[in-house]
Order: sequence, then C-alpha cells, then structure tokens
Amino acid sequence: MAEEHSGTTEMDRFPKVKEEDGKHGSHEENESHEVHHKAPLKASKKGSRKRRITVEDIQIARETAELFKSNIFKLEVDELIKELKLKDSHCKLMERVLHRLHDVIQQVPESKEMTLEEATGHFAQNKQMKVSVPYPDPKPTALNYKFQYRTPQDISLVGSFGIKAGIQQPAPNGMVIDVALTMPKELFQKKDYMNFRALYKRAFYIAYLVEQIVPLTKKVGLPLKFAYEYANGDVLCPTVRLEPVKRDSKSTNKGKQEDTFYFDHTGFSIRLYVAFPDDVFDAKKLLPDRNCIRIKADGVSIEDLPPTPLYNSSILTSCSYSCYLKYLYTSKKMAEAFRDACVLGNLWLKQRGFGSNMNSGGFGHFEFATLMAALLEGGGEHGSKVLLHGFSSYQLFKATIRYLATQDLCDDGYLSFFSIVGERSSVYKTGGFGVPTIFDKNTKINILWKMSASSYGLLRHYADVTSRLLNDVVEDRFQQTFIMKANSPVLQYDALVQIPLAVLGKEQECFGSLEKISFITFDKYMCAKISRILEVALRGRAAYVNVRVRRPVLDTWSLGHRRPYSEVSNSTKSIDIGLILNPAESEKRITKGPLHSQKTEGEKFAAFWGSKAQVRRYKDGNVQYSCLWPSSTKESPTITVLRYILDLHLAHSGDLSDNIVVNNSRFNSLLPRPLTPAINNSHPLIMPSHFQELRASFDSLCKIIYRLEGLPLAVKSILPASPALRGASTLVPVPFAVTNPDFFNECILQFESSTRWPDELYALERTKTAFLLKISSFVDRHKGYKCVFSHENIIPYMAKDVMTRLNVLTPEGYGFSIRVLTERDEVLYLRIIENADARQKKAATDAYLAFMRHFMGRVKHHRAMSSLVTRFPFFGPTVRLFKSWLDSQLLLVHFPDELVELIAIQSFIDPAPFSDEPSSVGAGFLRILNFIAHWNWREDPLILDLSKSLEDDGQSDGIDAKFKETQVAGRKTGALSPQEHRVMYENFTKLRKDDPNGSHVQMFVSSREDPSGKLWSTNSTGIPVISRLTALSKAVMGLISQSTHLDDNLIKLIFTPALKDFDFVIEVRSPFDLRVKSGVLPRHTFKNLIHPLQDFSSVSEWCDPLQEYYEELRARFSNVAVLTSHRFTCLSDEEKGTGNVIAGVFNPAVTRGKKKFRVNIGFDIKPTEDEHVECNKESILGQMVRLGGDLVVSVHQYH
Amino acid sequence: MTVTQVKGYTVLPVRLDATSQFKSLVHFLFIKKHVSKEIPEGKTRSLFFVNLPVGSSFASMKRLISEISLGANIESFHFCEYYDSESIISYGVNLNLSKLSNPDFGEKVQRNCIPVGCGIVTFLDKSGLDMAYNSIRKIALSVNTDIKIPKWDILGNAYIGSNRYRSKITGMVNDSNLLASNVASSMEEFENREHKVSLELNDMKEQVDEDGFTIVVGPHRKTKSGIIGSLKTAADLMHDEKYMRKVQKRQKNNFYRFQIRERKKQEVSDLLQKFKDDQERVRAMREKRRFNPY
Repeated sequence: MAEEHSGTTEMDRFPKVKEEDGKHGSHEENESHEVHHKAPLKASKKGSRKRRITVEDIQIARETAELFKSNIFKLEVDELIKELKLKDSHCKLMERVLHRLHDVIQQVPESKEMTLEEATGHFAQNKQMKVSVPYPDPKPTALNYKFQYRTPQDISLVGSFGIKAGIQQPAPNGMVIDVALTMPKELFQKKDYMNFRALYKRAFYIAYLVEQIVPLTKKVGLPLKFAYEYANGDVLCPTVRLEPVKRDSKSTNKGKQEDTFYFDHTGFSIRLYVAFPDDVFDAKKLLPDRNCIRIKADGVSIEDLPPTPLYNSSILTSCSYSCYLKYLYTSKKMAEAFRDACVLGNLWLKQRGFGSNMNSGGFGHFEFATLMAALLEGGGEHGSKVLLHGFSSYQLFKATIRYLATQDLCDDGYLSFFSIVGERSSVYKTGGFGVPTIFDKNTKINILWKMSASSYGLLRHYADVTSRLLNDVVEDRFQQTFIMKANSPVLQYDALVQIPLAVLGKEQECFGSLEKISFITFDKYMCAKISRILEVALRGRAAYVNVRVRRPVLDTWSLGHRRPYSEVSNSTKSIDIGLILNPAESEKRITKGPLHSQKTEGEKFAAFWGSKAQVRRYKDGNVQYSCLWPSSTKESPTITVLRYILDLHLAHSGDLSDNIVVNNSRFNSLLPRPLTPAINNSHPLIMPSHFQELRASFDSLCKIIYRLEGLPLAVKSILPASPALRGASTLVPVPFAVTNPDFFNECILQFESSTRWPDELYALERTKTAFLLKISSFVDRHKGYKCVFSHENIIPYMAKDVMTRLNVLTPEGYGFSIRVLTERDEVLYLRIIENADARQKKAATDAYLAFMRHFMGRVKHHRAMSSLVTRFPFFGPTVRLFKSWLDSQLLLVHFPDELVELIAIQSFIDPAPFSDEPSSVGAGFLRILNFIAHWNWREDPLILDLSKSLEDDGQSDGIDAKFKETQVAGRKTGALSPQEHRVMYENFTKLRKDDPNGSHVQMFVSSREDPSGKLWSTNSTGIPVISRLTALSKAVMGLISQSTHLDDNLIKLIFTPALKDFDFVIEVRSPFDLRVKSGVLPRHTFKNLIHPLQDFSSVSEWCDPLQEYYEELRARFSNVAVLTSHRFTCLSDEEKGTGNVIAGVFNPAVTRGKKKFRVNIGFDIKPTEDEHVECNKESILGQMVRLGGDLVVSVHQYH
Repeated sequence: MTVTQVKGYTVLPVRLDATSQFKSLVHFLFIKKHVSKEIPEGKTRSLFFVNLPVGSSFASMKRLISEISLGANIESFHFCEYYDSESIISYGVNLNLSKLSNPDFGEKVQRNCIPVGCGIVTFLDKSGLDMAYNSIRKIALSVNTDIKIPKWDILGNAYIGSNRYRSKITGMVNDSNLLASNVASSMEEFENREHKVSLELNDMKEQVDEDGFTIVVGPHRKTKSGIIGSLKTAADLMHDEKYMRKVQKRQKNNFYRFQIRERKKQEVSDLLQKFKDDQERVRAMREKRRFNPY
C-alpha cells in the first residue's frame, strides 16, 4: 500500500522507531486514529485537485513532521545519498576489470623456495623491470627461513566497495577499491608473527607478485600503472596501488575489446592488500600490551621490553580483512539502513578531514562502520543496545555521532565487542587505557589503534558539535552537517604551527632501539613526544592540540625502491601542530603552577619549565610557581610558550623556534598600530586599554550632562552607538587623532517623555537643536570641554541643514557627537509614509529606514554587539582586521559598520561546521572570508541569533532543548525561537519575490534587533560591490587552499587591491601626512621619533581632504559610475601616509549605447550622428580631475 | 558630419579647462530659447541650457556669453546641479517631509523647477538674447572649420583641490549664535502656523453641519486632518492584521464540535502542505546542485 506515491517510497525508509518521538507514542497513536476517520472525507473534497490525498500521505507527513526540521532533513539526506551513489556504469566496468585482474592473479606462476640471497638475486636478474622488495625497516640481512610465492588461498573484495558503501570522491584521492589477497597458510609457521618474519615474507610475496603481474596485465590488455603504497600510513604494511593508465587519443584506434578496460574517467583505483590467513597466529600473543619484537638492548631483559602495540595491531589487521568484511556485510544485511548510514558517516568524516590513514586521524570509514555494527549489538554499560536494526539511516548516523560525543572511549572506559554478528553483545566497560579503545574480542584488535589521544579528542569534539547541530530545532542544519567542508587546517585551527622534520635531525639520537620497536617510525615518535610536551605546556591555553605529520597528497612510490625515498621526504615533511585555543586563557601572560608549599610538584614544575619557572606572589596572597611571558604585539603568548618549551625540550640543530612556521599569527601584525606615548610599548590584542580610556571619557561626559539643570525636560539616557565604544573600530581610538574618520563617536540622547514635542518634523528637529544649544552652553562651561555644532543631512529628502548634531570635544582628547531622539520621531515618519501617495511611497520609506538606521538601529546594534564583543574576546580584533581588509580592497566605503560587524559575527555565533568560534585573529578573519565566499546571498538569508548566551550552549539533548524552548518562548531574551526564525525567513522570501535579483537589498541580514533584515543593506551597497566582495573572498580562499603555508608575500597579496579591474583610477595625494593625525603609528619608523598628539590642531586640519574630495565625486557622479576609495588614507599608504586612490567602474546602463535626448537625463552627454546622445565619459573624468586640482597625481584608464 | 541640432536644441561644443591629465576636453551644451506658457517665443529673454558642467556659476556663464558675443549681457543665471551630498537617491522624486509629516502646518518648500544639470540664462534685453543665440548657432554650424571653440571655466583654482577640500568640514557650524537665531525664527514661524491651525479648529468646533452635529475637538494634540483622519482609519482597521487578530482572539474557537473538527482538518492539511513544500524545496535544491559536497 505504501508504494502508491513517490513520497511514500522515499519516506518508508524511516520506520516508526523514533528516538525523539518516543515519549509521544501514545499521543500520536490517538491522533492517527482520528486521521483515519478524517481522511476519506478530505480525499473526497480535494479529489478534484491534482491528486488524491490518502491516509498514508497524512501518516507519512505526520510521522516525520513532528519537527519541521526532521521532515526536510530526511528528504535532504535521501538526495545526498543519491548524489553520492557510485555510477552503475562505472561499477560495472570496474567489476569487469576486477574479474580480469582476478584471472591474471590466478595465472601468476608459483615460485620455488628462496633464501634471502636468492630472492635478492632473483629480482636483480630481471633486466626489463626494476623491482625492489618493500621490506620494512630494519632491512633483513641474514635470515634462516625461506621465501616463496604460492597462489593466494583467497582473493576477495574488502572495504567500502565490498559492502557497496562506496561514495563518489573527487580526484586526486578518488574511490579506492580494496582487494585482499590472502597468502596460503603453508607459507607460515606459528612463530612467524615475531620479529618481522611474517612481514619479510609478505614483502617478498608482494614483490614477486608485482614482478609477475605487470607483464601479464599488459598481455591481457589491462591498462594499469603499479606503485607501492603503505596501507593507511602503516609503514609495516606495504600494498600495491593500481592506477588506470590515461587513455590517449591514439589508443582509440586499437581494438574495441581493449578499450573497454580503460577506467581513468571513473576516478577509481585499486589497492591490493596482501593478508595473512586469519588462523595462523595466536591472536592472544599479539595483544596490545605484548612485546613481539625481541631485541637485545643494554640492561633490558626480554621480559622488560616495552610492548609493541603498533606492530601487533598491524599484523592482526592483516589477518582480519575477511573477518571484518563478513562482519560488516552481515550487519548491512541485518539493518536495512546500515549502508546509507555508512555513507553519511564517511562523508561526515571526510568533510572534517578524518580518514583511516594514521596521518588523517586514524578514524575513517572502516572504523565508523565497525563502530556502528558494534553498537547494533549493544554498546551500553550492560550491553543494552544503542542502535536498533529498524533505525533509519539518519537515526543510525545521529545515534552513532551521539555515542562518539558522549561516551569517553579513552580515559573513562572502552567499548568491547565481538566481530561476529549475534555471538555476543557489545559492552561499554569502565576503566580506560589512556588510549582510544574499541576492542574486538574476536580478533583482539583495538579498532582505534591508529588514533592518538589528541585526534580522538578532536573527533569527539566534532561529534559533540554535530550532535548539537542535529538537535537544533530552529534551523535546518543539513548543510553544516554534511555539505560544508571543515578540513582546511588553516581554517580549522586557531593556530597552525609547522615544524620542518629536517630541523629535528638531532632528535634521531634519542630515537633508540626501544623507541623504534614501540613507535616504529621517527615521525610517529616525534609526534608523540611533541604532543606529550605540549599537552602539559599548553594545558588550559589550548583546548585541543592535534599533532600530525603532514603527508604528501599521494604517498605512493615506484616499484624500484624499497621504501619512499626518505631523504627527500624528510626535507619536505613537517610536523603540523593544530591548536584550538581557549580564548579565555590563551592570551594570558602568566602560566601558574603549584603553590610554593607543594614541594614535589614545585620541583616538577621547575624541571619542566627550566629557567622560566619562578616563584611569584599574587594579589590573593598566594605564593605560586609561575612563568611570566614577554608581551609581543606579533603573536599570542601561547605561541611564545610553544616556541620556548619546544626549544627547551627538543634536541635540535640550529635554532628550532626560528624555523617554526606559525601560520595564523601573521595576521596579528596587520592590525593598525596605535600611536601612543612610548611608555606603553605593547598593547594586548584583545581590548587594548585605549578602548577603556575612550569609554571612561564617555562616562564622564555623560555624568556632566546628567547633572544638567535648567532644561524643560530632564535627560533620560545617553546611549552609545559607535564602533569604537564597542571595541570594533578599524583604528584604535587615540586622543586628539582628529583625522581618524571615526573620530567622533555617535551617541543618542533621550529626554524623559513628554507630549509637548511639536507635531511636525522640521519643527521637531529645530526644537531638538534648541535643546542641544542649551546643553552645549552648559557643557562648554566645564574646563577642557568644547562644543561644535554641525549640520547633517542623513535623512534623504529632508531639507538641507535642518538636522544638527552636537559635537563635544573632551579634555581627554576624544570626540562625541550627540543626536537627540524623541518618542515623537517615529510617529511622524510613519505618518509621512501614510500620507505619501503611491509614487512617493518608496521614497518616504527610504526616509523612514534612514531614520531607523541612524537613531534606533544603531543603538540596538550597539547594545547587542558590545555584549558579544566581551563574550568572544577575539571578535573585536578580528572584525577590526576584517574592516581594514575591506578598506584595503576599496570596499569599506560602501558598507555601514553595522553590516560589516553582523557579517563578521556569523562565524563567531555559529561556527558550524567548524568546531568552535575562532580564537585567533587569523582564523577568524579567514573564516569570515570563507563564509562570504560560500554565501549565496541571492538565495540564502543570513539570520543571526545575537542573543545566544553561554548557558544555552551547553550540552543538551532533544528533550532539554524542547524544554528550554518552551521556557524561553515567553520572554524575548534567550535563543531565537523557531517562530521568530520562521518570521525572518518569510520576510526574506517575500523580499526576494519582489526583487529576485536583489537589486535593492543584496545581503539579507536579520536578527532579533532587525527582523526585516534590510535595515543595513538597503541602498547602501549595490550589486557590483557585493559581487566583488564575494569574488575577492573566493579568490582569497582559492589562494589559501593552494598553499598550506601562509607567508608574508601571500598575506600581502591578500591585502593588495587589484586596481586594474576598474575602468579608471585617479591617484590622489593629500598635502600632509595623515598617519600621525589619525593616531596610526607609521611602520618602519622608530617609535621615539614620533611624538604622540597632545592637543587638537586647528580646525583646517581636521579632516582628510581626500575623503572630502571622494565624497563630492560620489555625490555628483554616483549615477554614472560606482566610485570607491580607501576610507583610511592613513592605512592605504604605508610609505608616506598621504596617497590614496579613487577608482571607478562606469555604470554600463548609463555609459553603453545611445540614449534618447532628454532634458533631465542627469549625466554628461554628447550628441551622436542620429539625433541621439551618449555618455561623454572623457568630459566626466575631466570634470572629476578638475575638481581634484592639485590633489590629483595621475589618472589611469584601464578599460 | 558634426551634429548641430538634437531635438531642436543647438549643440554648442565648449572646451573645458585643460588639466595636466587631460589636454583638451570637449563638452557639449544643448541650448534652446526658453519658452513657457507665460512667455511665448517672441517675448522671451532667456536661453535654456542642458548639460552644464560641474561648478557652473553666474561668472562662468557670463564669461562664456561674453566670449561668444561681446554685446550680450546677462541678467541672471539659474541652474540646478546634480549635487546632493547625503541624499543621492532623492534624484527624480520630490518629497516634502515637513508637509507630509503634518499636512496642516508643515513648511512649504519652494520647488526648484529646473531639471538637474540644466540652467536658464536671462539676458538684459531681447536683442542681447538674439545676438548670443545667433552666435551660438554660428559656432555650432562651423565647428569643423577652424573657428575656435569657446572656452568654459569650470572652477577657479581657489575652488578646487586642496583649497576646496582642506578647509571644508561637511556641515560644521562655526557660529552657534547664528544657529540659535535661525532656530528661533523658524520656531516662531512654526508657532504662527500652528496657531492659525488651532484657530481653524476652534472654528470647526462651532460649525454645525446640515444634520445638526458639531465635530468634537479634544484638548490633546488634535489637528484637523488628525480628526478627519481618524474616521478614515476606523475603516482601515478592518484591513489591519493586528487589529483583526485582536478581535478574533476574543472569539472562542473551540466551543462547537464543528470548530474543533475544522481545526483538526486544517492542521492535517497544513501538515501535508508543508510536506509538499519541503519536497518542492528539496527538488529546487537538487536542481541547484546543493547536494554536491565537493
């Protein structure tokens, strides 16, 4: 019955078992009864419509639509799985290739038994092809056993292709088909697991196989290239990688039969594993705590040799390919949605940079699938089932993620399971091993043996974040969960530190034979060591430290070598340390240790920190071991600590800390440096004291005004509305820096309410001016304060010079400009809209919007933002950098500060798909650009929840979230409710219906402060500007994805405008240096040569003439060309502080083609031959340049 | 061939001041006799100019005319520049915020009738006009020959570059006393207007309409249009969502069985609708390839 509608078939994958809905069970049943009764009624009524609505339809909708999200989410999941499905034609082709390969392998002749020497001789004889035996280190010299090749006892497909859970993957790491060849049991003895014996035998087996198979494949026409590759980065387990040969155009002439084996277009490749038979070794002997490499070391008896978990696990893994294939295959058969859930899991891991490879975290598709299979058999503390076989793919995925997030498999406990379905249930056992553990009782393997504690921590954190996303009832988080990528290390980590392996050459001396057997490789040893050091050193400062070896894109090597060419790879290899910082701690300059009285701990502390450890007394009376770190404007104290501690604890050649590459902290030095007295040489990154001083000056001004008497109305409030007062201004406020375009800080003054305000707009404005005059005469009387009035024309259509604002200069050297808001204003503007006729309506609305922006919106925005600035310590500096980037790219003049801040806050309040909000300026800045690069503003609104408080962020499952929501619904505080979200979304769809291309409102940015979403973006930007912003962000993201290492040149490039994209560029120069007067410390100068500003200069030097020039051009010519300029001349010219550019793009609608002559055409025209006119661009440019006079240096026309 | 006329306008090329970047720039003025209902063609003393360059002034126009024909003297020059520093978008629509905010005693603003970029030059006498106009036509006709194109001074050196922008701080008021007296006088005017309206209101109070009713005038902030408007708003309220919702809230809607039944039916169909919408949305997303994770 369910097959009637397409909708039904899609949905019946999701049976009724629903975890969230469990508690509604009975309730739902009742309702569905009623539905049964209603349904026919409904059907008969609506029968005439396009199709009949049946009982099933309603039931389906009801089942899934309990939450808005889950319904659409499931549809989306279905689509995603379809999208990821491997193409049938590709799979068929691959099956044919694999069959042929199978035949070829069967044809390989068996070899005779060979000693080591004979084997070496055998390969040396082969003149056609150089094949080396991929022996693991140490290379064997003399062996008392023999090698032999015999036909494999089994050849089978394993891995994701085997259980048909493969997904489409882009090049270069396309879909890999794993084929396992099992060596015959006769080749082994029971003791062969010891001392690399089995591994040497396998190495020979592989080499012989390859040597034979290469000519054979050529003969049968399989177009394959061969190379060696380590299985998942495990150097003990070489495999053979078979890549397709590219089909060149010539070969198409050849026979049709041969052509059909070319599979280069599919993106597939094949990997041959050589497995050991599963019953040949005693698995108990290979438990992780056993030693299986016996060496002679000084003073260590055989019993005391350290365990060799990596070696043991590698051998056991090689024994168990077919076992896990069977296990996963049965699980897949038992649970219908198992395959789809595997696909989801695989994609989820990939998007976060996880994979089975040791260097990608050691948790990939196989581990996820196995975990899921284990959870189907239990997983709770008493073996209770975590997953049910009836779960849908989404539920399987979600519950597995939740399990990963909530159960600690490292320190608190571990999961034990049995890899035969139905045999024994999986149990979570308390008491962990300190290493991430999912232990298989059957094969005795720890499935997570390739993971380190740090990569497990990160995985768990990601799972936690995702499980919260999946519980989000407000918004559909499908995109963040599956589609968005979060695997770029520069974006993912707050700081990415790279240590070239070559620098650590001296550490090789510490890498002795005992370390060799337990860590196998030097890379691994170094990673573990660095990870251990940093875990102690950065405790508290960094939430997650992830140490990995950066591996090349494809780590295959040619058959002619025993192993990847080590010298070359060591010089390019580096250890990458990804840090996710704790913003509250990472900037602290002190590391506190144990109390002075705790002797043993104190000694430990001193030993660890070396000369930096000292004993200090604190204000609270404690005497504590501590380290004090020097302050630096360039990098975070955390990086200073890291440099110091690695220098201290690692043996190295040359200066280690100088060779460390720290990627993200380069951005810190790009922030404009304030010009202040030489005493405070360095300023903290977060909220330098300048902002506090400005705030203090504001407060004392407020106090004066509040004391004011003799006004008809008392002053009720003075509300700040300026970026500098919330710590988000491009330039740091510096006293007396009058040419700073943001010098005057706006604030809104409100009087106590009164009914006597004039009932007409202009009279109301004039009354306000009268009040301000009174205030100014009062403030002027205070020593050091000075008041200046200025007219402003911020409301379109308002008669000129009606509005005034009061600018107050304070004795501390700051400026504030005060506007008055009354309760009558809004009423009048609304009345204007009401009285306006149809033609005027839009213009009247524009006036209202401008009023809302300047008087109401700014204050609300300020209030919301200033609390967010304190909540996210790195938001302030990041948004300041983002603003200066926009300015460097000539974009800032088109954006209101508020819009910029709202766009920037997105990456902080909603960091998904990344794990946390960025905690460094670099990461924050790049994530903002990443967001813009991916934001399709035509189709997607930006809905921000500016109110999210820390408490709501806490771990909450579905029930909790629901409970909270009902609690919160009544109040207007707290997180955004689904209803509010929907209202904003509807505003957006309505807006786009009227204006699909977004020519009036480009970026829809809404929050509870402005549900309309267009307050800041109406008439302010424009499609060309926004498109350029998107294009530039994409370009930056492209640059960054190409290079893992952000050097100074690259960053400089990011901050350089591409002037040649414009139609014309007018180079202008100010007659005086603007840097000092704007409070910016010039680069490349000695600080003591620059004197800080002491007082206000004469009024004639109060502004940047270039800005005034630009403003006039923009006012006069904005209908002909989009004009743009650097808003901060003081930042645009590093050399002299005087240069700027005004660049423009002609509006094609105006400048292209002929127009009919009209008197009010509005731009400069010249006649054409046929009684029409066209735009006279030269004359326009000439007039612009003439206005500039001596300010203009040169003009370039590029198009 | 050069164009001498476009839609009845004579095209006069003028040379703009050379800057170091642009040696010779030709700008085109479009000129016609200024004719209106009051002043027919025979009587007019004015020329209508279209496409004036930036910074036009009486002086620059006088210089041009004197270059073209010595004897013609101009009396006045009215023009409208495309220049509006803050309210760029006001171009085209005219809106009197004051009048709209209060139709009764809002300020009347004189509307500039000259379109943007145009100007009217009035000559002292009719002969001056004819002389100048003839010379203009002569120049326009013989542009290709070696007659010198007349020159147009955009702005003197004192009005450009750093001189123009250094001392200029947008909107700064230097004399607050002047500001105060301006405010005082405008407020006085306003009060006069307000007073006049209140007198009118008082008159209304006394007026008895044909049915024998008088309009009730309350003491608070009531204007003529406010009172008459309130009658209109009552009708509008029926269209107002908020108001209707309020009214509906008062009605009980789960009293009769049919109401409950209707509601449930509505719920089910809403649910279905949403489901269909979701399907539609997902289909749209698929078409935009939103499901491609790479």
